[in-house]
Amino acid sequence: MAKTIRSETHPDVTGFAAVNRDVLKLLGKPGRGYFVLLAVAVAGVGIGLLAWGNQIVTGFGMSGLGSPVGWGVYITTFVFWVGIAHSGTLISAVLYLFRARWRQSIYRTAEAMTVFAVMTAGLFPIIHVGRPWLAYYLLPYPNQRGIWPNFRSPLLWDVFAVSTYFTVSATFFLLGMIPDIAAARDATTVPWRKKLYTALAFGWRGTEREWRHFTKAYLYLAALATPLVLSVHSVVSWDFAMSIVPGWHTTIFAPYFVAGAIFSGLAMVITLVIPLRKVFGLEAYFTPRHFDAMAKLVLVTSMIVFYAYLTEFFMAWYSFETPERAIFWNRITGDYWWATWIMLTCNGIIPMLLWSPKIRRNIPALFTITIFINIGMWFERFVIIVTSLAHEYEPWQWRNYAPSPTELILLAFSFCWFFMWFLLFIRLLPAVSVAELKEVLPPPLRFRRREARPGDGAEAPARRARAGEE
Amino acid sequence: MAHHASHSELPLARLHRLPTALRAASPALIGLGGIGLVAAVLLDPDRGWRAYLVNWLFFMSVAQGALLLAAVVSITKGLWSRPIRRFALSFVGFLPIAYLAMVPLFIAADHIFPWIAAPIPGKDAWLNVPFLTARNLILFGILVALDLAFAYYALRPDLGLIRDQVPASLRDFYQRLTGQWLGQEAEELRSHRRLLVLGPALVVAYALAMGLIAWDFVMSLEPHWFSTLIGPYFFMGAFLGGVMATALLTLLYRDQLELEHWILPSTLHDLGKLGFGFTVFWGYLFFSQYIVIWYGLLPIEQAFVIHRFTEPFKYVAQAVGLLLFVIPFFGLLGVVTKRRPRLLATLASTSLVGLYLERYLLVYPSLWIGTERLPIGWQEPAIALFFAGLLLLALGWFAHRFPLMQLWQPPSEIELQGVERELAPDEAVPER
Amino acid sequence: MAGTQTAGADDSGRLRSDAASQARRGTLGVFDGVDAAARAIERLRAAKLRGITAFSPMPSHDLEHALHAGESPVRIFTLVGGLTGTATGFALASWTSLRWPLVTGGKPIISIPAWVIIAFELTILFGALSTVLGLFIQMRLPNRNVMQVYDPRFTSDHFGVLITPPAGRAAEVRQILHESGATEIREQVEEVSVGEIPF
Repeated sequence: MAKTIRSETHPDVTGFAAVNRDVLKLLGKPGRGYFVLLAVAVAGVGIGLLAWGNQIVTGFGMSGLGSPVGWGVYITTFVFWVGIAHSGTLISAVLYLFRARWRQSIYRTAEAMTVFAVMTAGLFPIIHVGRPWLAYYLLPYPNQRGIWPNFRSPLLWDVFAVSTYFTVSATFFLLGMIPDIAAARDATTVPWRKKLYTALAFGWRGTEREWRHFTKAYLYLAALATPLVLSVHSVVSWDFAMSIVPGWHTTIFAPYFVAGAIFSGLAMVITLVIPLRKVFGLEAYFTPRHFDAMAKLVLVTSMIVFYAYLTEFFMAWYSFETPERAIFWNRITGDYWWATWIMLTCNGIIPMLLWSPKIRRNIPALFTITIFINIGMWFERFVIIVTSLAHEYEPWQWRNYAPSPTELILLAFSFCWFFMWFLLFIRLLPAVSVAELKEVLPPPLRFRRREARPGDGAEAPARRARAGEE
Repeated sequence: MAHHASHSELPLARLHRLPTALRAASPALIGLGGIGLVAAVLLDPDRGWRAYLVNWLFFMSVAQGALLLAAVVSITKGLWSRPIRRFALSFVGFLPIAYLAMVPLFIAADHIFPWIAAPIPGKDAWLNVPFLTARNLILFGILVALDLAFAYYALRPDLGLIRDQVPASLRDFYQRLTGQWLGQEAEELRSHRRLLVLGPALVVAYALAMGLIAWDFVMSLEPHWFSTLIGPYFFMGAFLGGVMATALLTLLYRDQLELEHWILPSTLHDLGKLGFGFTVFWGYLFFSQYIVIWYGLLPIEQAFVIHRFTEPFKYVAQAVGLLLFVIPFFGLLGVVTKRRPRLLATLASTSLVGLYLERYLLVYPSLWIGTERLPIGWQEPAIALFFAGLLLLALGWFAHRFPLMQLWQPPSEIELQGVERELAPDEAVPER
Repeated sequence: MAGTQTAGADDSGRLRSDAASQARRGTLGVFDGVDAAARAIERLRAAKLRGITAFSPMPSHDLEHALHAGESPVRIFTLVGGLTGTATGFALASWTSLRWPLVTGGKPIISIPAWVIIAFELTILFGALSTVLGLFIQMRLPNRNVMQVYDPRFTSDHFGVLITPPAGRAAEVRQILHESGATEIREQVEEVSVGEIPF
């Protein structure tokens, strides 16, 4: 019989077969609670679609937008969801390149989140444009008017960035799943599932040839996805930074938005994984060690974001530019002071609790903190967008904005839409990577384990190098 | 204790060969460069002190960037970095020197900061010499203190391990540094715990102090100009310099001390990847700053860029683009260049020359607005020799005293290494 | 192993696809340990037997090592795709802007800094898609020949070694597989459906 050795990353996972059993169990018949949740999500989507339809039929006056605040909840929500989308690729690609040892069990969920978050985000510019049926004008296609989109416009950059991001992250997601879908295909007995998995597994058999090319391609895709992740939220930030609106036109925007995106995305992963782990009994796969590692990243990105906030305030003061100074003063003391203070508290102060290792490993505390971060990051975008527009250069232009019921319904709709896809995903596709987990588990061995050679363990440099060279 | 049995296999005896060469080179450089420095400052104080500032920024950036690398790999527990960690750490000796070398900049502030002769109304709350001196000395002082504390706790367990083997001349030194010894295991645990706090603290202090240096020694030279990204742009460039300098030092020591069996192509490969990654990141930050200014078309912002992208400085700007980005980017894209010592050393040097010119470009165009001739002559390289001599002195001092490879292992890494061994049981299958 | 690697890859690669089509005459060893499977491969190779296919539930350095597999050429696809994307980005933005040369925002008609963004996004997009294309070509997937030598346990916790023994060496192959620790040895292996792929 093959011997099993406990893994240090997942000490409670007993072996390869256990992984298949535990993970593929999620693809069984769902219980009633699942359908209730799904029904709520679908109902929310339905209500949202009605509200959107109403806005289309009645007119854009259904939103609270006008002059000067032409961008409000819709664009805030767009930026929020694009931000959420970032952690998936971070965990699956960036941490892959950095050989982080805790990403294996978590990355699939994060990737799924990425794909669905981009699908959610992508709806909002379309909701936001008055005539959504003309959204295809954004695409560069030959037409009889001879007009092409303006490639000097940051909005067009955004079309390219977000659609590239969607394509690449969806590809990465589906491709990475092939070996796991093959495992599901081999395990399932439900005819329709068998058909679905057979199609999505492309005839995968796990031959050495397949693995060899697969792992290489995965590496190259990760290498491509890493700069992509930097670029997407940078381009989103340039939607703002290219114009000379005070509070928008600032050079730090790109890295600051990227850090904020990763920050919010990681918080959302934690928020989602905690209930998932509980409901499906996956405690052995998502260990406190994983949460600890993610919480550390949340802490780091929180500090980067907070550094950017402080730099912006400092620079507004230092610049001695009246509009800059006024806008930042207005943010903390003006009509939207509450939103700014929600942002500062949730994103800068509350995450400081994560300096404590105890809190990082305390699941309920972590859950609560990440909820605050999710709220804080939505308000961050709200503050950036609305306070700047409401308080531009000319005082006679200043006008405040309040979201209309339609906008709030569509904000709620975005969550329902996202969760609908997410719920469908966890029952349809392997939500934890079967094959990659096996890479960090000790493999089943037939014979006695190879004796550690003298000096092998201690002489780290040489040993490490052997691993790298192959 | 099995995990530090390895130090006996490390070529401790060999680790003293290099300093002899260094010790011969560094006084010569310091002497020669020192004469240059004095001459430059006396003949044309403006030019001299500004050249001094450029060189101080460059050498301080590189050494501080290397320390950041040492802290980051310690925090992230990157096992690949074990053989090169100490090389990054060995820049620590230069940082107290850099701290002292900062003081003349305040004394000679009149020759450097344009806002002293022509104060900017309203900005004097920030732009005044006493406050400038105080905030920089305090914040950079905290950073250097953290660097030293970090290095001390990273080294201490090793000192205990080899204090009986070191040459007699070093006995006293070791005795002093290993005072109040708690025993090997307790010391390792204590160092591990201290580093867990000092590492992140160093990173935070790095961002704050280096960001401040960017505001005060780069941004304020063009007093009307401001950019929120200048801080991160400056300190990530410094980090890139630290990575490249560590790579160069690694290759030098590998060759000189015959460490080929410890520093394998895969280690070089990882270093190359890091260099590549931060080259790209530098390019990203440059572009992020540039495109906002380019698009905004605001005179107050554009002045900074125009001063650098027009005659005569544009040639330097082109050289920076080429040396700091284009050549390292394409050079390090492939696998081969990362694993071949010669090629990697060439690319790392190219990048460092690029960074030197970049620091030059951050300072000079602001101070010679409207000049027709490129202000570059004997002064800049002469002062560079002076600082290079000091850097070599510090590196030699470190190499002479401390083991250049980390012998002890932090507990968390022993655990990680255990995992790794189990993951791939036959990594050790004899090759070929 | 630079030298042997390339040579080994070439011939084992070709032979392996032969093996798949003539699988009916092959011998399949099923293993419950990766070390045993790797040992079997090494011994088969030592006996100058080629055309080995290995199955495993995860990527395995041991098996790759034992098979002396060559470097994957997928990177060529990544590179070519990426460069095509860069060129396309600059070309598309420049060409369309010249078609209707309208100055906006005080920017030149050909605004290189703006084009960099488009070109970058297309580099990534084309690079990623062509990597995937290259991968499927290299993996010989999707496999329309749905009848394959296979065992569903290969996606769980078992490993397989499949070889088509040259005439007269079947007994030797069986012997090697057995001695290496195979838990099952199947000859005249049945082809198992991995399902029908609808495209």
